[in-house]
Amino acid sequence: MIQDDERLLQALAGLRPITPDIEWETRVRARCHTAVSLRASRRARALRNSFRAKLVDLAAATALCVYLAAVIIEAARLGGSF
Amino acid sequence: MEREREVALVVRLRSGDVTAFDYIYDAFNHRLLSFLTRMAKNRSVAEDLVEETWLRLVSGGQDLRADTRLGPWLFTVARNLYISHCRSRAREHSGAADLLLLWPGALPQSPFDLASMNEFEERLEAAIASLPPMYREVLLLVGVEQLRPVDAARVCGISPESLRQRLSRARGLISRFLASDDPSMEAVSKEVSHDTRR
Repeated sequence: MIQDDERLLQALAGLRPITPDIEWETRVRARCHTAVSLRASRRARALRNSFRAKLVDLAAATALCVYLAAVIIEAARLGGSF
Repeated sequence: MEREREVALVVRLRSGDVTAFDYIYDAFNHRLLSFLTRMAKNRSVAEDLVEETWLRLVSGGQDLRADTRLGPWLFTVARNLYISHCRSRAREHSGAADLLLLWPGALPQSPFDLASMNEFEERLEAAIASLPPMYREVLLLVGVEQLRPVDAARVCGISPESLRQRLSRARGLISRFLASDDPSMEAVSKEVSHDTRR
């Protein structure tokens, strides 16, 4: 008979743990590994794509700047010739 | 698990580190299975729910905050999955007779081992299984899984004061079950049913 809380808590803490079936444990672990790896590769791909997108943006912005500069220079040249 | 190590593990898991997952899995898998098996009183249901808990962790791992406490997070997910399971099945098994089926992997194998199995432990398991879920979960989280009361309260979605009351009530019921000479523990069972209706 347990008459005090301390003894009861000790008994509860000392209860036999439930041992997982090894096959089940291995299967779940493998399934989770696949999910973690898949997520990591998706993340890496997204990062690569984002880097590429930034490079394309930068190239487009540079081309636009060059084009605008050329237009301004041409406009100034034509304006100076009148 | 030390706090610093826990934070480091969460950060590594977010970045897709499989070894971090393994460490967390080894630290919590037995505990989650024990908790859910004792809650559901059915090993195969518990295994399905534990598996789903882990899949939630790995699928939502990147959204975890770095300061996430893994124990409470995992037990909260496990508990919510168990509640969803109960709702979908709309049933809650009671009775402790099938409890021995819960430990096929851990049961002593030989007749000698069976004979020497701690009788008190058997009674304690049966008493826990007889508790209503609201008392059983707090007793399992605090008493068996050794969660801090404040974390257990968070897992159960109740205030620390409510948890303290439930825990105290659960201990009282368990003590009465264990003290009861009536093997069927009918009188205490009736009291428990009455208590949960209140």
